[in-house]
Amino acid sequence: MDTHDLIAALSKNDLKVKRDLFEQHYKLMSSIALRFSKNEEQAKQLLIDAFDKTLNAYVNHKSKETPPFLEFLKSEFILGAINFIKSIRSEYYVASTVLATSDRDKNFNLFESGEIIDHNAIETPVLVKSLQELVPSQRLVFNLFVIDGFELVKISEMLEASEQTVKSNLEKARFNLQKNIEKNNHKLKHEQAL
Amino acid sequence: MSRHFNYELDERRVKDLLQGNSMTFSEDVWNDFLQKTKPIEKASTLPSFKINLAINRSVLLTGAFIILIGSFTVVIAKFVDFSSTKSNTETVREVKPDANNYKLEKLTTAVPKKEVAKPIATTAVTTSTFASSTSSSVVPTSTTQYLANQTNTYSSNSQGNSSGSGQNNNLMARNTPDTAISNTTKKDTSLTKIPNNYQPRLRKKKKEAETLEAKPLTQELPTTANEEPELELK
Repeated sequence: MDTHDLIAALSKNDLKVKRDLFEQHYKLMSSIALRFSKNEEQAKQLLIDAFDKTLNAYVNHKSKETPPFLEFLKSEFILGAINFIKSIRSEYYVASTVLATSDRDKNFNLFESGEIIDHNAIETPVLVKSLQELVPSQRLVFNLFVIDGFELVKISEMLEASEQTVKSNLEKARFNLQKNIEKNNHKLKHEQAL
Repeated sequence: MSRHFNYELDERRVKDLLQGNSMTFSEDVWNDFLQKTKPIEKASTLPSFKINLAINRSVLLTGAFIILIGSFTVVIAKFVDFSSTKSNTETVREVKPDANNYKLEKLTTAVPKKEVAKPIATTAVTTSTFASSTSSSVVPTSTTQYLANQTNTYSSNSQGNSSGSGQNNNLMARNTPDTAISNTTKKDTSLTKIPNNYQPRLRKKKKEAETLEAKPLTQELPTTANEEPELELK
């Protein structure tokens, strides 16, 4: 379908066209939603919200040459995901990833355990869970820089933060992600052993 | 953070894993989408002006301030009398150019007139008081004739009234103190014509300064440093 026909159909609120687009790009949108959100439930909400904003933005696109929908979706869906995460202000402005637990016997210093972890053999659920455990600001920066490939300056504009803050959050995200991966990997192995 | 932290994650592998991870499509998600979203509205090209005025303290204060300034302006404007400006404008007269003022004079008028000699006029003035006392019906045609008439009338009066001549002489003496008429002590009743000795004073020409010839010095002037004695301070 041509872009003009697609825009015309979307402006007429053609549900069939919408569903086709939703099904067609669901895999891409869900992968972005899963790594940007803290759990699967939030990922679904993010997906719905960001997809709706993307469709509205595409219909009301003001440039002369309308880009193909897939290109537009990749950039616009990420912006929608950022806005959705930032809109949950109680979660976005949390300072630390370390959650207080009542179990004091547990050793949280994972680097002193002496256990060698093969980072090339990390399973996807462990990685996704470790990423979702990061605080939203660090999670956003890690996703945008490492996975989506944006520059730090661009990320600072997108997040409306200074470049230094973005850099700091990226370093913290790397440290905390590795720590979370080792923790979750050890936990998974312990559960499998039991 | 730990000093001995080594970042060992392969970000390229992490990227591949995360990009490949996705959720399976379900009808529930689509139904949620239909429930939560509204139909797409195409934005109109014309800009929409929406005025959101919330009545709060700042709006009320601004309104009260505007009303206060407006009322104060009205009160001040009442003191100003705008009608006075109209009366001032009415008093101003329009000056129209008169054509008679701009008539060109003939060249004949530009010829200078000869002035009447002043000394004769002064004699006429001096004798006018005396003439007023006498009754003469003759109208003089000129100043010389006028003087002749005056002398005749004076002589006739002096002949007729010898006793009253003293008063007339006194009058003459008062009016012309430096003339021969003041000789009342001589008891000379005959009056002679007053000689006109008046001469206008001429300004004395300034004498030119004499130019002295410079003579060469035969002797040298004494120098003050050598000959004059120094004064002693006491």
